[in-house]
Amino acid sequence: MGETFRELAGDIWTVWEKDLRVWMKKPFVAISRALIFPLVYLLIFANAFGGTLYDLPIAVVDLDGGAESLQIIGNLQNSRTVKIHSIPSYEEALELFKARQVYAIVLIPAGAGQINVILDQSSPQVSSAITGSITNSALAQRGMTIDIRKDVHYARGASYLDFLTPGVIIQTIAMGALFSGGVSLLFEKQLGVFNQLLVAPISKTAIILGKILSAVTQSMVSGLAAVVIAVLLGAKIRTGLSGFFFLILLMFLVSFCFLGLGIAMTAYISDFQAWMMTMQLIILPLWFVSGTFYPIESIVWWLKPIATISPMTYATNAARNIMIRGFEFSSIATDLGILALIGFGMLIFGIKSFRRSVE
Amino acid sequence: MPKIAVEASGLSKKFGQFDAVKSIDFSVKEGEIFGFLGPNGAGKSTTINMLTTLLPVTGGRVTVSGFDVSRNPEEVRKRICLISQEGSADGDLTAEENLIFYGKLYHVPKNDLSGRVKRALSFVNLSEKKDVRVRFFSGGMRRRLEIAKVFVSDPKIVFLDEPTIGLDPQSREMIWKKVFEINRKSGITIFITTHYMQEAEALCNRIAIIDKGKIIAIGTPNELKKSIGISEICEFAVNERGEAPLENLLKRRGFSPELLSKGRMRVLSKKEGSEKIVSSDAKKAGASVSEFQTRRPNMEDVFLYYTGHDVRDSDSDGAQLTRNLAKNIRGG
Repeated sequence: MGETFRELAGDIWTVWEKDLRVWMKKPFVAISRALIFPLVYLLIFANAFGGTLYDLPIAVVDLDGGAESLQIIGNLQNSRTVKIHSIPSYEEALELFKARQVYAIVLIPAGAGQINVILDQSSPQVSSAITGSITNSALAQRGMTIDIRKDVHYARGASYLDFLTPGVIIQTIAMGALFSGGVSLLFEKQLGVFNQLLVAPISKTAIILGKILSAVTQSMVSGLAAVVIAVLLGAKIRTGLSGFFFLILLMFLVSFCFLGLGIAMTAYISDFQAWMMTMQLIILPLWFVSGTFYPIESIVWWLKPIATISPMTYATNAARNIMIRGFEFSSIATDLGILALIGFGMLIFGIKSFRRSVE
Repeated sequence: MPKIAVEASGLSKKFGQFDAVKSIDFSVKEGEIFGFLGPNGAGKSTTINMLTTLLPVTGGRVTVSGFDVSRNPEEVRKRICLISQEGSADGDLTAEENLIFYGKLYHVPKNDLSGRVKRALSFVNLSEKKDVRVRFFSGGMRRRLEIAKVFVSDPKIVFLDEPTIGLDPQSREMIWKKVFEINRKSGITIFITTHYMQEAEALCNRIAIIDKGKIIAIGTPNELKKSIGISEICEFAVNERGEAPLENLLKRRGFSPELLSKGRMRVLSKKEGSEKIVSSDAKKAGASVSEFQTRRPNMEDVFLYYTGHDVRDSDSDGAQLTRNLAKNIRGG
């Protein structure tokens, strides 16, 4: 009996030791596997979804110009939640609001005693934080009763599901592009299927463009499926045909970004585990700081650079503006431009790395 | 004068500091089956990858079907078919789907494609399995499907990289038969790499022995066998008492006798009729001999002679003895 037990223990030890030996042969995979979750969850979650929103841009149109209204504006200025842009006319403020350069308009009409707040509820947290900040500033004005009238211009009653949906669709596209572009290429290379393409009398351009096209098709199908699922789950989409057209365009650009990344990674990393680790190390932080789960205004300063270079930030913002607020070209123009730049840049980078790896 | 299918001169490949192929020269005639025989890591796959444009050439030059591999890779690709060790079929597609895809890659005319695929599948006896996904195929079936590609794209030269590695004897023989048929029926040139002596001998018109990146000998199997200067290898049983005196006699004769296990002895003879000579020597030495087994040298002996080591480089009893044989032949 004891002998059997000793033998079993020895065998367990043998199996254990062999696996650890393999594990230590790939330090990159081992280290990143050990670090990835604590790093991503503690560092990024805690600092990206801290719950405190800073510097939300709002427009203030002061038609009264009296001492009380100046004081209320002064109170608002002291609040760290909002960042005030003083705009002389309501029409001008509306233009900025339409383009979502300001998230709300505070209109103080002549004769004081009243404040009109024009809101955009496409981000529920942002809109309630702004409302709270304005209410506090008005209440701080002692000895006065101020009537605050709220008027929701965009996305009345948008839910968190509505808020979450655009970012999830973007992420679905991104993952789809990374996988159908990168992983399938990686497998074909390992299995020798890829060599069949390389010895065939077709050009490298045809190979790579064919691969890209198929990956784009796959990721677009999964992205559109995500839209359908979101709608079935009750997410409201408030856009017409032109908005939908731009949404599709957006999805294409996102798939270009991550397809390029996937292809480039495959050119440099041939080990499947290392590939997966690298992918997670890149894509999870990019996603978590993109503003999908919580407004981007809540992330700490040292995560902002990641948000700035992440194509998902622009894509999520633009998708949200289209899907929740209803389509206004001015509200997505900048995002679309930046995204196109990153998208085509990454695609070219991917193609170049691929060519270098096969020639 | 037959045309040349492959011509290499000074062909070399360096990976960093490592010379995988060291300035090799050879030519393959159109319509022949030419084999690269050598152990794993000898540079066979590297060479085939250069010939099929998968790896850039780092020294010398090589033409395939008249086109320089470095300068006109597209023209070369149009005329070749590569059947690689790993196989190239996509496991998620059926046998038929794989071949149709292959035909499209080679721009087979549409109206011709389905007919060619049908014929190809029946040639390798896979017609009934045409709708089965390749991931469910056995190793032998996969290899046959690879061979079917030849009938779809109709190449001038077929490159087979270790075509029967890991296959059971029946599958191996089936592959050999198919390769023969391709060569006979269509006159397609076949370039094959292998580390199986038997395979090289059974299939190839000419063989190049490659070891450590260099070609050591080229010739037909018969030429190569003749080149080692031994015409017979004779094994027999000898009684214990007669062992020593017989060994002495045979040694003087230049027969390089060797004691094997279980009272058996082996001699190498430059002339035929070794059995008679051994018998008469045994009489003189007072030894009794029986159970003669006489054979001609095979490729294994040839390989040993030229490389000084066994193709598997194993230390089995037989390998050890044959190493001595190589030493004896060379010394004598």
